[in-house]
Amino acid sequence: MIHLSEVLGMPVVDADGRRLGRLDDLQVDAERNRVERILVRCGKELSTGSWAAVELFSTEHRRVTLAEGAVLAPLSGENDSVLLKRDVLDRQIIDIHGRKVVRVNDLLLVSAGEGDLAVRQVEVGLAGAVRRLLAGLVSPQAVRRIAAGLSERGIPWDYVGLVEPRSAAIRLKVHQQLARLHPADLADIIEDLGRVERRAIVTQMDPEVAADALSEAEPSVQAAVVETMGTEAAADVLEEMQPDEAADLLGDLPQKRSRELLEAMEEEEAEEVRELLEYAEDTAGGLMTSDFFAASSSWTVGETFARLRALDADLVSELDEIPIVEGGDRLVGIAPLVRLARAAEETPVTAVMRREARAVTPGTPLDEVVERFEKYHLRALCVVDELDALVGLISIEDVLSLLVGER
Amino acid sequence: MGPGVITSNVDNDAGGIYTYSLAGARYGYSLLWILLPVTVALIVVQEMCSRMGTVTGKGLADLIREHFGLRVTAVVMLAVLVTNFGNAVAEFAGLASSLELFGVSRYLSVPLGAAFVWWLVVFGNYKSVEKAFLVACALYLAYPISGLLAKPDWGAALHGALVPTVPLDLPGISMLVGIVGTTIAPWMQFYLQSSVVEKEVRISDYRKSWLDVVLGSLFAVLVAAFIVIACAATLHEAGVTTLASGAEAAQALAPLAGKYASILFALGLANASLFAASILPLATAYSVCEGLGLEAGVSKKFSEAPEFYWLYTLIIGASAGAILIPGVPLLRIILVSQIMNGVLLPFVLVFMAILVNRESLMGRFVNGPIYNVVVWGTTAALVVLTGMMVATSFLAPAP
Repeated sequence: MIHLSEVLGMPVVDADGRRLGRLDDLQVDAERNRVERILVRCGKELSTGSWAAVELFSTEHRRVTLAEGAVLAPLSGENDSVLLKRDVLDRQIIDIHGRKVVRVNDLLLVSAGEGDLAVRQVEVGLAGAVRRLLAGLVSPQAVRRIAAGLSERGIPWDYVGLVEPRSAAIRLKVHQQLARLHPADLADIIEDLGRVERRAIVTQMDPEVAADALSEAEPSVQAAVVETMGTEAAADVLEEMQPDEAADLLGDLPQKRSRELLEAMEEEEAEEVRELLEYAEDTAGGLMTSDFFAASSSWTVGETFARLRALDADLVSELDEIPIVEGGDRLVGIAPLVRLARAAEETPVTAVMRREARAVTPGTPLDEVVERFEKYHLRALCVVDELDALVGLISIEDVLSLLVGER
Repeated sequence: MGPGVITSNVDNDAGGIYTYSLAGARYGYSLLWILLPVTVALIVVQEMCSRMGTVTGKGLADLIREHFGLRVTAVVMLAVLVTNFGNAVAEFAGLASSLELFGVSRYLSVPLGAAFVWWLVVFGNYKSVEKAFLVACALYLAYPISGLLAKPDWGAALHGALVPTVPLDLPGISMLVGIVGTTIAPWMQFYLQSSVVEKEVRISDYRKSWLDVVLGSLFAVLVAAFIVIACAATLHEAGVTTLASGAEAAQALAPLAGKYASILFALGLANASLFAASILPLATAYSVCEGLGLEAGVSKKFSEAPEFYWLYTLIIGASAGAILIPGVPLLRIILVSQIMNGVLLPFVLVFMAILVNRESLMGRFVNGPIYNVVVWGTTAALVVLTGMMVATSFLAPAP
């Protein structure tokens, strides 16, 4: 086991013992996780040699010896590999397993057989920082002794997400890993990152994943993120958000920016959001979503489930009670999902619904909405206009986040 | 109220009040001029922090770490730690001397104050107490009122404000360094930038945060100027040129509060000391952990961020403990800590100036030429003053 801090700066010599420079960085093929090249600095000159040409790589002898006949080449341009010092050390990275943002103090390398060297983990604890600080100032033995007494915290390399990976393959892997996190955890990570890192992460993400994560972030963070994104990318994300969330977000932005984004959005989604923006923020209309699933009063339970199965997953996740409408939009009742599930397939939905007398109008003040949820132990509340047409739905989640936000 | 106004209010802490009082008592109106360039420098420096926080979304310690590496960061953090420890000692010294006016022993007030401040951050609701402290900052208005009631010699004040004079001895130059250091304290820059980041200030809010910084700075320096004027009109006129105790410093408020002056002074100083004593160790622990890449934050549990909480606890414990050493000269400690601020400031300014001019970091929000002139000018002036301070310290006995 070798720490990167112990090897950086080691003298590099050729087979005859002539000094070529100092070890400046290690280049890693991140996909295979193998050190593939060394970078050597001689004055201002940087040159590079293949790992295969390294004969001896020893912290004990404190030097890197190249094999007979090995030569260093001048550094060629950009490539897909990761340079450990330049790209990882001191950077913000994402600890995918711990679901947080950390700063890298040191890296731990291990022998991977056949003379290969692999990255085992990144060190984020005090011990790593102290090792870096003392490297070269006191003897390596003393560094090890001092660091041994301090808290060591490492993250396995497999769980490390580089915020700005150079290689497309690594970028894909990081984003697949991030997409598997709960949107709320992803939101925490986005909140912790600096502005540039945020943009790098969010713009490379699938708009749907980004939308879910943003919905979970603090309103001020949502606005800050959307502000840094390009108009097209931001519009793509907004389209994927629930219309009420998108409307809240746009309401927090300067009017000019908000209009710009609405224009860039698909017409259908933009229209829904525009309608919601009409309602005052402190009314039922400002809280409700206009994107919901409703069953027609002419359907049977079986038909309703068939349509539910065909639905977008996003709409189903917040669904506990299904409004029943007649003639397209007139609200006649509401059916809890559980009661639908227990009914026979051929039962008409109207037979399991209860008549909905608790619906509110878009202008109903928020405290009245909250009161109604509490009084009737509601999971969802319908919002209807003066003609009894269903225009929106408020879910218990909306009310909960409202109450938590007020605290 | 934004981060700028809050930071500037904390700026008028025990160290500030005492340094300005002493400047007025010892030098009358003659050092008032320094406050004019200091105001410009304060606005420029704070605006830079606020801009850097807004554009990058990162704290100052974070940026130093990313651009100058871990070693440089560690050296800066060590200097910040030592200086802020001195400042924290000054806050507890302020608390002790204010409550001694009520006859409360420092052996009671300091441990209780330290425990309160510690409890506040670890268990209490810090946000609501912050508001209470800020309301209490209205007590600072006592200084302008008292300064007016004392019927200062406006001609002399104007002369002092417009004609720069530099007292060429160690106490005089130290006083100038102290005034700059207490008004543009290095820790404030770290604190301000972190607050801006935490509040998610957006680039589109730029004008608002600029106004916030300007108003905060003007208020802070205005209060400072009136403390100098009030002390010049009362203490200096009366021939009191050193402040041996809090009671003497309280006399500056006599025109307003008469025999209740010491009560008013004690309340103001106790409030300022407690407020700063809670923010300072917190800001220090944040910066140090940020710079070293360790977990930090009051929202985290003790076990999640042990280094952060231990550091915070240690700063409070040690600085409060230092006050309890028998015979320790409270007021002298306060002044020395403010001079330390002035000595550290140019180093922090150099890092800030380099960072804020990096296009890779700031894009089109890099400094304009006027800002650069002010920030490099301030740095150069402080280096010259510090150099003179060191030189005179070899020529003359210590103050």
